Amino acid sequence: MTYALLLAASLAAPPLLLAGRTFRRWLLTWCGAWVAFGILAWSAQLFRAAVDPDLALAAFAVLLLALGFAFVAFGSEVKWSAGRAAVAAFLVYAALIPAMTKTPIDGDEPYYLLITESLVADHDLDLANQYRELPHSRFGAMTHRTDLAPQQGDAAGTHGEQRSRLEPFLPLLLTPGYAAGGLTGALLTLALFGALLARSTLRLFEDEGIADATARALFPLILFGPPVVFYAARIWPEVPAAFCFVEAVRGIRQRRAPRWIAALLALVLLKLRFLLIAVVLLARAVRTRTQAAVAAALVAVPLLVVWIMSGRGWELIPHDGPAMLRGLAGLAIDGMSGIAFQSPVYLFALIAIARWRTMPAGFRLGTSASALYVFTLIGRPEWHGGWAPPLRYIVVFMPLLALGIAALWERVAAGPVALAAAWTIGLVIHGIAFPWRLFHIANGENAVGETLSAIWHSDFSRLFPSAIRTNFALLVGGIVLVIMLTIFRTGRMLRPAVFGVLLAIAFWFGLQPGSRVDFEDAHVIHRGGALYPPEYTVNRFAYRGGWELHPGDSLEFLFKAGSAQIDYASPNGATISIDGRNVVLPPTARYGSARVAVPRTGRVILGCQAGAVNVDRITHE
Amino acid sequence: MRIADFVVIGLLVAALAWCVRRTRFAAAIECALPAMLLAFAFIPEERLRLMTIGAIGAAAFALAVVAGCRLPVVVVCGVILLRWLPLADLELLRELIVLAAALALLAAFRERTPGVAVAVLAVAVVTPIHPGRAMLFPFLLAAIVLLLRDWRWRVPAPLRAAVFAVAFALFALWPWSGVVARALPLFKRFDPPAGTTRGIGAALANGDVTAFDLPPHVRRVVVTASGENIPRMRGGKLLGTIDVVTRDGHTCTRELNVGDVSDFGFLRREQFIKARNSLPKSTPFDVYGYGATAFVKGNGRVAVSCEGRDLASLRIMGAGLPAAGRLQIESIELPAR
Repeated sequence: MTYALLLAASLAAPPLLLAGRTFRRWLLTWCGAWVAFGILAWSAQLFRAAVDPDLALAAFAVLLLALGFAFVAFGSEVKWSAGRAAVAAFLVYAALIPAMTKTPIDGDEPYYLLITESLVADHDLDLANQYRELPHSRFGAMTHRTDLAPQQGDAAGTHGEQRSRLEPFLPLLLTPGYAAGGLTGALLTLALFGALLARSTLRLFEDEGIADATARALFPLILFGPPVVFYAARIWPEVPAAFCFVEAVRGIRQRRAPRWIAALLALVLLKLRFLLIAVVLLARAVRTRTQAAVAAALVAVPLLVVWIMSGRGWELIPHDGPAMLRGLAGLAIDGMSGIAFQSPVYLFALIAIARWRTMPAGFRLGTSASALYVFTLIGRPEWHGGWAPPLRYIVVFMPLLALGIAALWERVAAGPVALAAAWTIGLVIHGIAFPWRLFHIANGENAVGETLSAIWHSDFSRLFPSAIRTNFALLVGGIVLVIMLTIFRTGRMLRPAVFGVLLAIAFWFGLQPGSRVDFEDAHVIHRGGALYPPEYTVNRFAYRGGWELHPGDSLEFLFKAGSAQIDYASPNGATISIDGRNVVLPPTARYGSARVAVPRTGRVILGCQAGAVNVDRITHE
Repeated sequence: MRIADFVVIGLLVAALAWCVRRTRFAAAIECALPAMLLAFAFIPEERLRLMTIGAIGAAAFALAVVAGCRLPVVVVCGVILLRWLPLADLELLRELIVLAAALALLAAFRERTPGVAVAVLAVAVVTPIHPGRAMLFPFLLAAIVLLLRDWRWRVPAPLRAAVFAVAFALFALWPWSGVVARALPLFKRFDPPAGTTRGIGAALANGDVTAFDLPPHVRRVVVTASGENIPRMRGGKLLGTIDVVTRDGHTCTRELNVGDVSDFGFLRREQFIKARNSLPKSTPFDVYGYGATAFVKGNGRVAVSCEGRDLASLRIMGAGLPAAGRLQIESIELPAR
């Protein structure tokens, strides 16, 4: 049932956009795909292939959708309009809801919904009674989140009131849907915003002179690719904010003041931090004193409202300078939270930014408006979005970045486009089949690296750049990115076959013993012990981490022979063994290090013989 | 799958991409290469890995056909993929003859359409190379096609789509092309185990007996067995008997014939044409090997019962076997009640 709606959407959405012979061809291909899938499913049983039915169905549904939109992109008889595309988008987003809610809503989602519940039930923003009644409430039964407690930063009133630090505008928007249909109604409201975003994005393309053929080709990659697709069927303000941002840019470009004023106001009310975007847009839009007064009010009123309610104006001030470069690199190339690995199509947008002057005026306006926001974001420790699907904090810009991609599209060779599209399809399949994996602890690894590491028991995560636990790959990736942004013309050298060769080389390299092992990583075989700190510790990325060992526990990993330094924490000291040789670790107040000898290259077993120790990493000297 | 086989597959995909290099599909076809590598890296289970690589390869071929790749290129690549792997078992001269025969068959058709390519590949995949004269089968077909060249026949689009879909799915099973070529009817006769299975491993000659006591409340037993050194025995010939004794002393006897079970390896490439065995009526579908040399074991599953009564014991005897022949009792299964 989880994928029934998605499979139905694969049948319902394309006909909105196809006509004549193209429609008939698509329909025959769709039917043929079902026949082929049935035979292959039966064959999987025959040949006893260990298929995960969930993954197989998710893959089939996504491939059917991709097939349909390929016909839209390349067909000759297409009924193309922003409105039709928006309806198709709504069908797909709505169909995604069962898949996205396979597991309980997470991150800030339940808190937004709890505020909505309070608005619907009590008509107030005091959540104290909601928290009290969770175990027995309709909300608890509906969301299975009876574990909620006030978040760090929530304001408490003098009479026991409990207010959330989250802006209440999104919950307000969700109230009609929630009142009518509970969680599903709320998610359908978000899907509706997704459809509005689709329409606005395509209208923006039209406004800026992007050809229909380009819009048709890009439309599925942008609106059904990460990150938009994962936020359009989940309870975050990002997609409504993206819609508001696009409308604000369009309004300013068309000099339609009511449009951009309303859009900017909604944008800032959705999330106070978007004020940094609004300020720049206002500076570009203001032409008269009246408009300047309106602009000042637009800035002051939401700031005052949110400051009074939650006291969170401090987050507008930029933070630590040196971390900003790391955050910027992370947004671009981090394996867990970067554009390159989580939404590769937007790498073309980075290239578009590097070719600023040749881009459409709307793109220049939108990206210049993002500068202040990004500047303040990248220095924050949670630049990666915290406990949320990837790229959370820049979803708002995706439609404008898409405009840059569209402007470049005709120049880009088929090879990079095919690779980006294929990777995008893979990400969508993964996210739909395993929605819980959209949330990843910030430990320097990522889902791909962890999966390979767990299968092959070798450290593949080191091949992926990490700005959370900075590694050599981040430096290499940064250099490659700068070179790419500088010299990119069409990308025709990056053929998929060449990429395949690079993959093979990378795979071979990943199988080799490393010179640094972080003991909490997936490639380490853990026999007993426990992760430190526990996996879902709030702001876990702020901790140093490691793996706690007691006598009898052991770790096995691939490592090079020779002298190495082991970093650990042990208040009372401990004795460990490395391939049978005991090493006494002196007590440490916090983290300390000790030198050890690894006798041979290959699989090494580190065991705890006495005491208790938190081993963080071992590094070859 | 060995590295050499992987390299061949890569070269075939590259050839298809080169064939359509002036179209937008070339890059999509090339994506099959990194996709197959990723399947290798991410899927540890061998059968699923082969099946995924198979589907990716089939998609590349399908795209090449849609993109208008010249059919001789498609046929050559298809024949190599379906028949030449694993390279370690390749009989090059014979396979080159089959390849030439396939191209001759393609040339015999007046119109070169994707449907023709599907038909030619289907003929090529089932063409045996043992005995040698069997390789000439496509040449014979080519002669017939030449005679019927002036026939015009239109296939309705929905039927065409269905045929292509089936062809795609079967092509996707190229990692087990030998099974598709020689054991396609067995796809319908798959009967997976559904209860507790006890391994036996007894090989019975004529007159040899093996017997087992059965636990209480068993009314039906499924015996999985195969033959050894019996490929020339025709369907219906006796191989043995199964006697079941009920708890109240009744005895029922069931004959075990060729067709209930068959020779272990009669579906092997080298034995298939000369073998006289018929396909088992019900099979656990045990597959061995991969590529053109993959085969389904000729074992069969035979259910025995006795008028619905509770069974006490089971006795199997070899009978009617040739001197070197054996009846191999692999397991008995007690179906879940």
